[in-house]
Amino acid sequence: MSRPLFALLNLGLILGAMSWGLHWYLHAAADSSGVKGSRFLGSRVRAWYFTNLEPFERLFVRLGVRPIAITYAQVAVSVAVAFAYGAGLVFCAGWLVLFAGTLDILDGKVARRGVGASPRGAFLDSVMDRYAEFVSYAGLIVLFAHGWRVWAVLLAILGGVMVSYARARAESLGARCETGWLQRPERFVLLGFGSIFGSLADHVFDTRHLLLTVTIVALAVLANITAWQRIIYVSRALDESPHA
Amino acid sequence: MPELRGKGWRVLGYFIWMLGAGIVLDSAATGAGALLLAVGAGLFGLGVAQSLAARGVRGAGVQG
Repeated sequence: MSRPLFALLNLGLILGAMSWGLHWYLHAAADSSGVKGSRFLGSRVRAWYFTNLEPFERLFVRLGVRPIAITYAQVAVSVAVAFAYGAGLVFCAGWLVLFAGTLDILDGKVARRGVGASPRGAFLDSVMDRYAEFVSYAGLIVLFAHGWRVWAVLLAILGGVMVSYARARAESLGARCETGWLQRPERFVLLGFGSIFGSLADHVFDTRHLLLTVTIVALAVLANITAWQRIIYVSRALDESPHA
Repeated sequence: MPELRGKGWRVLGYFIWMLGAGIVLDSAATGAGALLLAVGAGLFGLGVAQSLAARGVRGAGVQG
């Protein structure tokens, strides 16, 4: 089987899974009332994804896997993402990005279900998340080392760091800050699917990373807009605060 | 691992298939990619079979 044909076969498998997800979304059977959604990833979409993770969540809890071990595994997967991007394995890298994002969800879920939830765990989780995100983008820096696209990757990194820093600093000052278009799960989904569909398009239409480039530019723009949404939101909230 | 019965093996099989597909598509290591494709397809098939069997048992229970 030729590569374009194999790429089309896998595109069909991905679209099939997506249409199954859409079917579930339209006839939602699970309760999504306890799931927090956002503008781009609504609570029902998240609830659908969480139902797919339940078997692994139960397995990890029964085996007594500590949440911090899952967090470290997420960093290890992110290193694999970097190597995959660096080696030009963009399709694999996209799936590994989604896998890393999944581990990021699972560590929190296992912590809440088991006995591993602690301030230390929450702190290490946040710090390791930053490492994991940067390491993933490092692979893109290697992939796009020569050319203007490396600047888009650097801007995307800056946006991701500032989104997280704005929230951390706001919370240290007593303000809540969960607003913004492109939070961490949205960044995972955008980069993951941008890489997967970008690679398939490269094989079928010979587009030479066009879709991946569009994805990274979108990440760079939207992540920095999100950072500024947070900066403005927290500035106003602190301005109105009686302690200001 | 009874927790993975059905859906768990399907999800894991799908993911492993896609990793294999990526290796076949983007590299020259088609042997390793084909191995992952086979493992992924096997696990996905196992999950589907377990789900169908569970549905059959439930259906028989209702009829009985």
